[in-house]
Amino acid sequence: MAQGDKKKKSNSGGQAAHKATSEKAEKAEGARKTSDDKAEAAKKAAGDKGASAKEGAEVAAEDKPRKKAAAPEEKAVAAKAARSEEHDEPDHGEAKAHGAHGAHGHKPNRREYLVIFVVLFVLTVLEVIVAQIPGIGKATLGVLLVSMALAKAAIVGLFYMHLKHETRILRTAIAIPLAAPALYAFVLIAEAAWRWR
Amino acid sequence: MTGWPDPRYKRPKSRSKGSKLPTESRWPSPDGGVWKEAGRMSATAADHADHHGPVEWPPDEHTGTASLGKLGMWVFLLSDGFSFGGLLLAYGILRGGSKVWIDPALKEPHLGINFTALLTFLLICSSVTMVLAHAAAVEGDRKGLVRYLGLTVLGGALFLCGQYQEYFGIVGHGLTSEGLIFGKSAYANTFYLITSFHGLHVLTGTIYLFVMLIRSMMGKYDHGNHNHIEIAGLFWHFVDLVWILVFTFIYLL
Repeated sequence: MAQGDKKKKSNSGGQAAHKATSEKAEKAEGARKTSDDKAEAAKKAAGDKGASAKEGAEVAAEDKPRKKAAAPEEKAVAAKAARSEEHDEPDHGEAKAHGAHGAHGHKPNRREYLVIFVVLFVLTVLEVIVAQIPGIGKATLGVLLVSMALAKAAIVGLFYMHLKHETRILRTAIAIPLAAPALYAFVLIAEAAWRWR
Repeated sequence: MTGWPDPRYKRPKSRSKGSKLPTESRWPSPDGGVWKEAGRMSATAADHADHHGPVEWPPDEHTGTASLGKLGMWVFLLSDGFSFGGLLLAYGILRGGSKVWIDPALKEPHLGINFTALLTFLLICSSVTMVLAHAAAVEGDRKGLVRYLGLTVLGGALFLCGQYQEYFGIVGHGLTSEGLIFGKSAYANTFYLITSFHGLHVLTGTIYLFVMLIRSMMGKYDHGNHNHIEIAGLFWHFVDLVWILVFTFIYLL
């Protein structure tokens, strides 16, 4: 299944399938068989996201009383799919279609990795240079170095540890505990600055 | 969730006989079949798998498709982050509270920045090879995976050699022979405690990745079965991330 190629289109395709199948849901009872065939075709056209929408619609078609309840749910699924599609990097045309990480939400982007590497390298060089500037003020040095180090750490976390691709809740659950020692450090520095003023 | 393993989730068994997963949903999810799709996809990949096909995790409301192993590694990394955070804070408190940090009377050497910058660069490089190894694992490219994992292990081993050189001196003098003795001053204590604690992580990570290298040579991570590689990568990147902070706070400031 060439889901890799279809990925970009599958959002609109899913909606198309949704429209088609909800039309079918109107006259589903008599023509169940044809509806199935059509849905099969729609599925082939739309790829996997369409398929899931189709199955949602099929449930609606089977069970008329549930139809009204199911339709918005289906829409929600389509919206969810759309959101996860947007999350995908657009730059994966060359990536082969591997089922392995279909639900994983992202494919590794080598160019991005290398760009991040260059950024990390440049920041490291800058840090070393800044640290050896003769006669630089202690406060300036501290602010510059700490901000660069934190930027590097954040970049590693986001791009290399894939936090960028995790859910918002997981990211928050990781960021909040790590903010605790940072807050402690901030309080200590503020206290020291006040003591030495 | 009730009980472990979750009764609703069946781990796909060995598919050496070419058996396919059922396409019906094994996951009665309220999200309208997203997991069903994941199951289908792993089935298509399983067509080529012999023993260790990829295992897709059911998407969770909060954590998405992150596997339990990945979440466990994150919890461990958070606790590890607290350990380093505590050590660095203790260092900050000691240094901030002292009148003279490097006491000239003790004749302790200053830390060399340039050599350590090289070590930093080495760790960053090994992080890149780690993400490239993961990318190869995602694509089921065993050769690339082994190559990049090997480079990552090499980077870790070189870092350890560099740290040995810094401490004891393979070529020339190390810090210990230049008069930076553990127990002599807060400067020496915090330096050795923090860098050696980090070095222990590099050692652990190198062994961990070496095991993963052997396993990937055995073909355990073929066919896009990249979850374990990604988890190992998380640990390795964390070691790199901590070094970035240690380098800044101990060496540069």
